Amino acid sequence: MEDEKIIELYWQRSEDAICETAAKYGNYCFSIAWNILSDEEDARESVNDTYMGAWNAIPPHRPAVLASFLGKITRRVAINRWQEKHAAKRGGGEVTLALEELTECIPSDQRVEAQIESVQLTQTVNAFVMALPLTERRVFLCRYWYLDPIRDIAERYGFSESKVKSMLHRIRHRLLMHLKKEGFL
Amino acid sequence: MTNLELWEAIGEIDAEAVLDARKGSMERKTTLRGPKFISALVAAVLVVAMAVSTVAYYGAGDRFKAVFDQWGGDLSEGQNAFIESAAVDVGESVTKGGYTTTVASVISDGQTAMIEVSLAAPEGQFALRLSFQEFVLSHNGEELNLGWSVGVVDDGDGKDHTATIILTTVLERSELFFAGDGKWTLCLSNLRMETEEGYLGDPVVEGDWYFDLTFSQAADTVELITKPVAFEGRSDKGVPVSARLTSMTLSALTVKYTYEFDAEDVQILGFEDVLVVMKDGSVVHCGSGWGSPGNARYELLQPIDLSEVDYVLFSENIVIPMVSE
Repeated sequence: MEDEKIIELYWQRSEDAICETAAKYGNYCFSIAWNILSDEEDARESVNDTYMGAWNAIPPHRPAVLASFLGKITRRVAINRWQEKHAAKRGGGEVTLALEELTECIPSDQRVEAQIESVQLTQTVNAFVMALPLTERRVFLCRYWYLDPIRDIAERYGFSESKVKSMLHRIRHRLLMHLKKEGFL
Repeated sequence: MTNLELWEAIGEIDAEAVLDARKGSMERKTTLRGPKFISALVAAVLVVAMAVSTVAYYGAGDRFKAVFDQWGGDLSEGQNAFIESAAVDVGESVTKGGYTTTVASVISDGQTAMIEVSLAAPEGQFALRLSFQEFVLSHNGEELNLGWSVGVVDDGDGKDHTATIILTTVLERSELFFAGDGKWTLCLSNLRMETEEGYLGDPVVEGDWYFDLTFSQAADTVELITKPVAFEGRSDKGVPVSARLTSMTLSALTVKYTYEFDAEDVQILGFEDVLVVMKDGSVVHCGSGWGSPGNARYELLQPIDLSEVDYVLFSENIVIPMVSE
């Protein structure tokens, strides 16, 4: 079913909206949740929470890109679940690896809970990522938005794993410089 | 700031780009296009065909088409025509200390020059972590003070010890053009390997690599501003500043604009968002930008066919229509 029709079902408060969403985007949402949680039951619950989130948000919201809208809810739900489960301990999974990698973008003397304007940070990161050459942008988002394992990214792009690591390493370094230039560090 | 905050900010990145990353990687998994992506399996089958059409497959034009395709998606007929006319093969190699640098080709619209450089390190090295300490371009012996961007492109050979990068720069001086006149020389100095932390380490090979470059003739440039356009810029400290756009020029690979403002204690404004919107609704994004007080200049991530430009979207919401020719 086309996205516009699925969104219309939400607006009509038809429960078919959930069925159609699950049929079209269930696997997509599950893959996002799975990458974050590495646990089938948690991932499935996150996907169900995503449907509930979409049901509560539409209406009044009318998403321009339904896949991204759902993916964003799934990512947020899964991150919250991951944080709850890992409140006491750290370690394991792509989240930990990705977060460790992103730590390179923050100098060690500034890794503190400082008050920052999250909206401005979002705008700055968005501008940086959107200015990247297409392949680098896609690789960056596959790793840090979708949390795809590096070996999967390498396979999809026909690169060696070390080439992906090297590309990400360069991008992180440029992001560090960009954040410094914009006054976040 | 924490890494979690940074990660959450990444979660808010443009929805279309996020979807494109998933679609793009899936498409790429099944469709690695272009001469540089031919697998060993099919290469043998194509030997005869390539022997006949080597230039067509491996010329500078085809390589830059592959680059722009990677950076911005499918190319139109007009874009392909520009690339064919503006790309020039160079094919000069210099080897020092086991490291070979090749300037394979260049492309220019007169304002922006993009230089395709291949690096081959000894096996076991990661070529993508190699970087030169300095890039200097000279015209008739005069060194130009230019900023550079370095873009990594997929060289498709799957080897870690080789890499292809695109060096890009945009001229600031309006009286000078990248063109067939005069002698252009690129000097790359002191090859270094980045450390794990992303900083340049000690040189792996010291010295200068010199390459003579040849450019095609400059392409057309169009002025879009007929009277000053007001906009709200931001100083380099993030303070809102009322400003006026006084000039904006477009050429195939370049956007340049000049501006004025009255605020005191401000030397320069930050870079504004600039998108080139084509008549078919497609959008060409800017890559790196450079500026000095009163002006900014950007490279475009794909060439534009001036006759197909609809308007430029400046500073998020100011529409600057293309002038009718």
